[in-house]
Amino acid sequence: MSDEGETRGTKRKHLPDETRARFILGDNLEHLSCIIYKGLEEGVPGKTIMQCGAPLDLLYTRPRDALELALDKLNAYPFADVPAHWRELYEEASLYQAAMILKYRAAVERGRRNIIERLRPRVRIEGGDWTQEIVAVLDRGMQLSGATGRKKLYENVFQQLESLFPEKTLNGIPAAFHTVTPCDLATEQPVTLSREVLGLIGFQHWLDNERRPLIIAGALAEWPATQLWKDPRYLLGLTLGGRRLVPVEVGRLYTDDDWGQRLIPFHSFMTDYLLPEHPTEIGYLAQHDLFDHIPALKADVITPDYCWTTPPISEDEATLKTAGLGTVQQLDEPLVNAWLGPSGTRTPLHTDPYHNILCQVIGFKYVRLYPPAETACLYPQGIDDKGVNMENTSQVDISHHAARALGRDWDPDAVRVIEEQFPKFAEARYEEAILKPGECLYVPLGWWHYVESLSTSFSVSFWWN
Amino acid sequence: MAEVRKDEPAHAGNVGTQQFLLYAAGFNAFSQLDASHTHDLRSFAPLSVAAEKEQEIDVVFAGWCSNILSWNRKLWRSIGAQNPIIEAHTLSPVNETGSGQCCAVGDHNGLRAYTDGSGALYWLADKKLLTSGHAEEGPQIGQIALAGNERVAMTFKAAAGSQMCHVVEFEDVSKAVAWYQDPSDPKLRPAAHHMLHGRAKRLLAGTATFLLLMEGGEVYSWGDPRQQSLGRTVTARIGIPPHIPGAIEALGGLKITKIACGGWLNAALAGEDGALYLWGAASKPSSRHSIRCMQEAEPGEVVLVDVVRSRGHGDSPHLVDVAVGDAHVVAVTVAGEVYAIGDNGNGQLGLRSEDDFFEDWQEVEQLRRVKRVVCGPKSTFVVVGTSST
Repeated sequence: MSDEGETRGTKRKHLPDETRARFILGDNLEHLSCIIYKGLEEGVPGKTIMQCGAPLDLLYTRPRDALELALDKLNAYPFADVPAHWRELYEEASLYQAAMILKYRAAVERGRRNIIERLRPRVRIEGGDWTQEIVAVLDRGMQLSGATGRKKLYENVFQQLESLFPEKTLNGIPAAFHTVTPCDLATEQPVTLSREVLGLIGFQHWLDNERRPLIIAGALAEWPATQLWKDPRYLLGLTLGGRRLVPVEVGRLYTDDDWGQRLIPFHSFMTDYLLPEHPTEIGYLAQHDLFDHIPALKADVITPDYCWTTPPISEDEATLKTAGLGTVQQLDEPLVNAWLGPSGTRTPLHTDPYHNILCQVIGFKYVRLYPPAETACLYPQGIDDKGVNMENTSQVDISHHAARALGRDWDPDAVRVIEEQFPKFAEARYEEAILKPGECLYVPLGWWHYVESLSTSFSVSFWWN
Repeated sequence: MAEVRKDEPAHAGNVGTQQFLLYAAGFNAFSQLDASHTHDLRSFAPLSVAAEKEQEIDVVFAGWCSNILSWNRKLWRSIGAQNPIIEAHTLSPVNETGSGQCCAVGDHNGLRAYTDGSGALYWLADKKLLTSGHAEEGPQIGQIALAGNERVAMTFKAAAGSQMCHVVEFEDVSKAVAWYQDPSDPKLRPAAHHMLHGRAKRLLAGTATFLLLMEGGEVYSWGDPRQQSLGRTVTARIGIPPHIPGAIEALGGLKITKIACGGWLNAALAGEDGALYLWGAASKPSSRHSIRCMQEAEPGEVVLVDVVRSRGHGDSPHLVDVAVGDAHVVAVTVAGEVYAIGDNGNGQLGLRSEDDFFEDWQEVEQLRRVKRVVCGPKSTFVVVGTSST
């Protein structure tokens, strides 16, 4: 900070334009780091963070070491059991680390060698791109910690970074996703389709009397997203040039052994998984609260009124046995999740402990639904070898059956093996449909559903109870 | 910076005596290795507090922010964040063999508890080490281990000739201490109680798993199976469930003489041929880097490790000691050479390198005549012997 006097003011006028621009950027970076430190000092840290003890002493001078310890602790427990103080330390230390990267980068822009030498070992910029590094540190701090005590400060910093970052070139990014319209589904058990947009009363009537899935055409007519999200460049623009990290599931099905979840820049997700016609592996941005994470996207969607209806109290035994139902809280507002992926993403046959409105914004999805009464024919899983309870997921991989239903190449041997292994499966009654852009699907509580994208697809689900 | 070469020990020893010198490398933000500054030690340096001669010096506890050294197995001194909390604590005389060894455990804030072989449990409360006033009547504790998820396991001190090993487990240290003080209170019962055949030799803990070596050379593991660091099959239908001690069958028939673990990594040394076995996560769940010799292992597979193969000369040396930190492993050969692998983010491998990680084994060429190694989560200590005749 003491360097500032020398370089501010008159002296700068004589510098070449490029050097002056770098000094100004340096000033702005330094300023943002001060905003972070000030926010950390003034705001109230998490309630329990003081329990961490010794690592708190390192936050200002060596945030990376505190961050590493906090991350080890986050990983030491199953996610739901991580003590709050470790989440709060991770949230806090990420901001300190981001401030240090800014301070370091300010020194680089201004050519302050002493500061550069002092901070270099504390900073470590992976891949050499400091803009990506700082976004990654902050996004991990927000998303991995699951803590929310510093949410406003995070949002403020993300907003300020937007003006500081150089524009990212969008070479090779098309102006529209490529979505091929699939053939119609020939089926004898279609999901009921309502061609007119149901009002609240009409929908409540369906809930009370039918209690079955329903597709409502034209439900998203008012959504800006149906136009705006067709353009990959629009989405990159809202995510700091695609630098924001998103959780991506990689692998065929979450029940497969090689399935894994990665936190990667949105830009990489776009170029490696979403845009290529034949990606080397399937990556799916699935079940993610993107709107909490990137609030600017919120303006593009409208929570369906249907989520404010009152579902009838379930009385039938099969529905009451839905996995997880005993532990869910009454929601004050719907849980919103985004689902973005290329053609070929699959969500295995499973149940959710909520009612669901699945809104199809971009592209096409095949859905197949089984009523709760068929649970015995669907062979729910037990506890897996990592100790995770998977009873909301069927052991039956129905992707071959789906391929057959869609009139595509399918493997008769695989279907035969599955039906021998799970003999009651073939008897289970179901409904199926292809969900089109602008439609929404109501999935009643406890209904088993399998979802497979037939093109690039962007959907938003709203869970309520 | 002191160098240790074969023929020129850093501190000239007294002729005719056995002298032990202690060197350390790694995390020093709390001045827990070198009291004069707070920079990490990226190469091995002699510990200045350990300068007293003609004394057997040892590391009682190697923690994240503090370390505790002992002289002649009696006098303690803490360095780092807990200094001077545990200044000059004097231990009761310690039985040198078998289950009688001192066993100190702690967390990111330093030492929390220890046992000294007498059957008593000591714990740190309000900057003092306490034990129960009625230790003789209470449970007789053998060893204690504290995992990174706060869980505690303790072995009972076995009576002479007993071939039954009892292990009790608690959610955290305070629950273990409460039970120790009043074992008859049904509300304070252990979270788990395990019984195994044989006599316990060493009980250790990693981030979320426990490891138990028996005097017969068998190794048992239990705990959180998520990072596949139990070294055995734990699927729902086959094998012993993860939270119950199960023998690591891949080590069956080998007489294991030493175990070590830290983070999600585990090591065992077979005494007869000095062979090293590793299992667990090849990298921390959060790391981009991984230990190459473990990358291709199947989940739960135990790998026989060759510390020099990657450098392409000669047979694998006979190893006499091994220690494991949060994500680094250090091994000592019979010739007194040191090999290290894994995380070097704080310089804990002592290789004079700024690199964050070494995927392959490296010889620490700075060190010779090393007898023993101890790893803290982000540090390494070596005891250099200079026996002169």
